[in-house]
Amino acid sequence: MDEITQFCGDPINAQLVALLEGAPISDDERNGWFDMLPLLNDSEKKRLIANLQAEILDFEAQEERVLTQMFRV
Amino acid sequence: MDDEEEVPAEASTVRRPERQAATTAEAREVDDSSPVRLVQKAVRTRMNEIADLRSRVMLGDAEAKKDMQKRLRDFAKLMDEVRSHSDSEIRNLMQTGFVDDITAAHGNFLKEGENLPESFVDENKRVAFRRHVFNELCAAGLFGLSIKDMQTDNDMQRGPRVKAFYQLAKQKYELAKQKLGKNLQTFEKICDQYDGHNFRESMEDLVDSEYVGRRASRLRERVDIGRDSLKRNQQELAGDAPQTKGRRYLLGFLREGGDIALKAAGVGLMIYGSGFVAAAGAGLYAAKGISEAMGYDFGQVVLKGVKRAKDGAKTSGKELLNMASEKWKDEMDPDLLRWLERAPATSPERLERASLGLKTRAKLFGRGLLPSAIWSFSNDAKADAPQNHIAEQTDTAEQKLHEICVKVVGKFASVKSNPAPKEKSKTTPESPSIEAPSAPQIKKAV
Repeated sequence: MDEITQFCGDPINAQLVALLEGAPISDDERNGWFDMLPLLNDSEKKRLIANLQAEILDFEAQEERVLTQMFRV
Repeated sequence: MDDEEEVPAEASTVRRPERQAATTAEAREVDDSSPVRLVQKAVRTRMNEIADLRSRVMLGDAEAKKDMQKRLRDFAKLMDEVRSHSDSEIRNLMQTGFVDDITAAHGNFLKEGENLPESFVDENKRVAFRRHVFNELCAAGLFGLSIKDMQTDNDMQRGPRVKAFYQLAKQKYELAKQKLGKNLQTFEKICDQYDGHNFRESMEDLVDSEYVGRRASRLRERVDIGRDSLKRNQQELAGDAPQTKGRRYLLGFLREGGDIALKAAGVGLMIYGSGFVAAAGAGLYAAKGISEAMGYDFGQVVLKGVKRAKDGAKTSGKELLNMASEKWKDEMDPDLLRWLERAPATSPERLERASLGLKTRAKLFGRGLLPSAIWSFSNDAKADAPQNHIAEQTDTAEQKLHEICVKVVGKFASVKSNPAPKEKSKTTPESPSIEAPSAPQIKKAV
């Protein structure tokens, strides 16, 4: 199986891409990670996934908080 | 939609690894006395300094903030000098996007009206971002808008120049204003919160006071991950790793200075990834190398698919397959082949991050990647709403996976098969670090 096919079929990559898509990070960082994705090993990917999940959760909470305050009046 | 990306795309054509190689001090083996390299080095060094200061500012260092503003002014001056440099090669370098990338990036550090060249404050991004939010509202059926009101890419047929695109975007913005009517103020209020330079200001008062610090530390963690990975890769490739085709490319790339390029990308993460900063440019350093390393047949095929989809056609997995060479199909993983055969058609909208806003994001979480699909609909649900939306999201997941594959693979080959890899980032050019507010939240708000 060639490397690219393998890469595309790997669920951890799909998950990582999905998280990168949704994470509140700059597009440059996002694209930087997309570009670096083939170089990451599983443990690095897992670290990144955990980090991005935290980032998204935190952002969502802040977003909620900001919007609540903005529209309190 | 992607016109803004044309600038960095152009830039990528000049940023060959051998040039990038000289952008850091590590490039000892490269002749770094040529004027272009010296300039690049100088720019890079200053950007690094600013990035360091930036992270200190994020941690609340008032001294650093002052210093940073001064450095930014110096930087602007340097850019001006380079732009009118007597050496034509240097001027060309700047013209082909280098300066645009950098100014775009640093414009985001600034508040409007600060004492810097106009190019540092990008009004276009504001407009483009509003268009994005407007479309989100249409898609969500809010403010009395519907999908019919959306400003599609067909409306925005790009002219030959980026400038023309933005003129059109501004006209469209006026149109959107009319449609919004009495809701305009609320709309603006929402958008203001997300404008690169306004966002920081207004958010900082409202968010949890430790949020910025948490972001900074997560960013540092990510930078560490990137660095660890690069280090490991370099070590592995220097050793006797099995030489597959992909690896050979990668090895060649790294030997030719790609490692430096990747380091630059790591630095880019530091500069650009910081906090609320919406920026342009750095991933390009890595893009070319990786593309060369990994992108051959498969990528080209998908690339064509993406291009067609972007041109307005719907592209299904099957159509992508039809464009594939026999050789590639033979070599392909049967699972992926089967999946592509039944992957539903993907419309241009779906290929854009613009439409990956809230709804899609919620759906995406529904795949079980994150808890949960319904958190945006109810705060209380947050705690105990893990993965039970998976079933109903199967279709979306399939779509999404298709997009992801197209996207990831497109990246591999984008530079190789097309010197201006527009699809490299099919993301919204506007205020990229921030998602539009979620539909349910807006609903609440209205």
